[in-house]
Amino acid sequence: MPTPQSQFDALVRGTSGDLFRFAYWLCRNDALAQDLVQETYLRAWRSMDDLRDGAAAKAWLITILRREHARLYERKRFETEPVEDVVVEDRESRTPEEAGDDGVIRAAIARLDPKYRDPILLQVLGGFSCEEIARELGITAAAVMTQLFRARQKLKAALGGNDLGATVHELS
Amino acid sequence: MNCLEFRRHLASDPRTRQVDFTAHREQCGRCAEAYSQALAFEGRLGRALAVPVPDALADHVLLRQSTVALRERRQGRRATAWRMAAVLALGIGVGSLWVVSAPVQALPDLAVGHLSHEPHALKATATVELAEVRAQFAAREVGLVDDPGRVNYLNPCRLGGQRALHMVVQTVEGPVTVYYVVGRVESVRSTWQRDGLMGRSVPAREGTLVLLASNDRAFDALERTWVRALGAA
Repeated sequence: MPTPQSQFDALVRGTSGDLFRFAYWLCRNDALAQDLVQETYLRAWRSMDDLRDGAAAKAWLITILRREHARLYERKRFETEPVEDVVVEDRESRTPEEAGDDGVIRAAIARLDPKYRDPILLQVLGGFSCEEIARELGITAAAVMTQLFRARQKLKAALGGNDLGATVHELS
Repeated sequence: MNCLEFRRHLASDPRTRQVDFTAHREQCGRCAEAYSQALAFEGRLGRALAVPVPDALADHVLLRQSTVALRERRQGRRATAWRMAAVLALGIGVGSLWVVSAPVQALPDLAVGHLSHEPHALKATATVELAEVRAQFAAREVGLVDDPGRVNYLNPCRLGGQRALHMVVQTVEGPVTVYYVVGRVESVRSTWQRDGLMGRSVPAREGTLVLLASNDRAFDALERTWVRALGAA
């Protein structure tokens, strides 16, 4: 039978990448994101008994992380990089075109109002369904659908019709 | 699901597995094309969000967690030890306070009060063997150096928390209760009255001899005998 420590090890190794990315997009600060992740896992370790469903671990961690982030900002306003200066080092090989598009999208994500940014982060990075996002954010599923729709519109608009993939699907 | 509903759903939740969403996509060419474009955008969005993760992040997390867990376990053990020590100290303190502040009950009160615990004693007439009397004193680490005379009742008991021997001696003046209280030495010899009874307290070696009767006529003789027997003369 796995020990609590071995279960926790597996949890960290399986989720820390996505959790860091989520933290990064919340605060847009690499060091702060790492601190948030560390604090999140420490809190998770102390409340491992609360985690009954292993399949829900990622959602549980993201909930803890969002609370940690909110708590940090209650205490102190951190310096974050200006949106225009968001440059994320690409370690994987990408074509210059891909890298350029990613930069545009990243800058657009950074500019998103949190009410649009948070649902799309929860959906794309967290893998949450609309209903789960609604529960996490304390709003209706219909409101989540609207915010996700508008978030995508804004991101696609930022690409300015570079190619077909950036086309905003108008619902006329 | 119609095209408008499909597009609306596509723009908010493109990876949905709703049956009617899938069904519409399979029967509508334009929506299928929009779906392909949306998926391409989702791929780019996913890549853009996938910022590089710091090297060995998981190792750092686990290292910190194991360090903190170890420290918390040690602190927990230390806190438990401190709590136990505090409870112990409190207990000792309260106990000491009780011992110090508890009023020491007067020996006459104790002696008279104890009579009701052994009401049949005054009626005892059988003679207790001298060997038994010596043995009971010896059990309280008090050696009798002389014969204390006749004893008609003998029972070990406690007076005010002190070990004592409760005896009754039948005399011509009536029964006399004799206590020897071990470890409580009264400062002076005294004769007193309580509840219609006469009493006498006589410090003798490591304890006090107490005589108690309806009158004190037999006290002098008994006192001399017992003081001699106890080797306190």
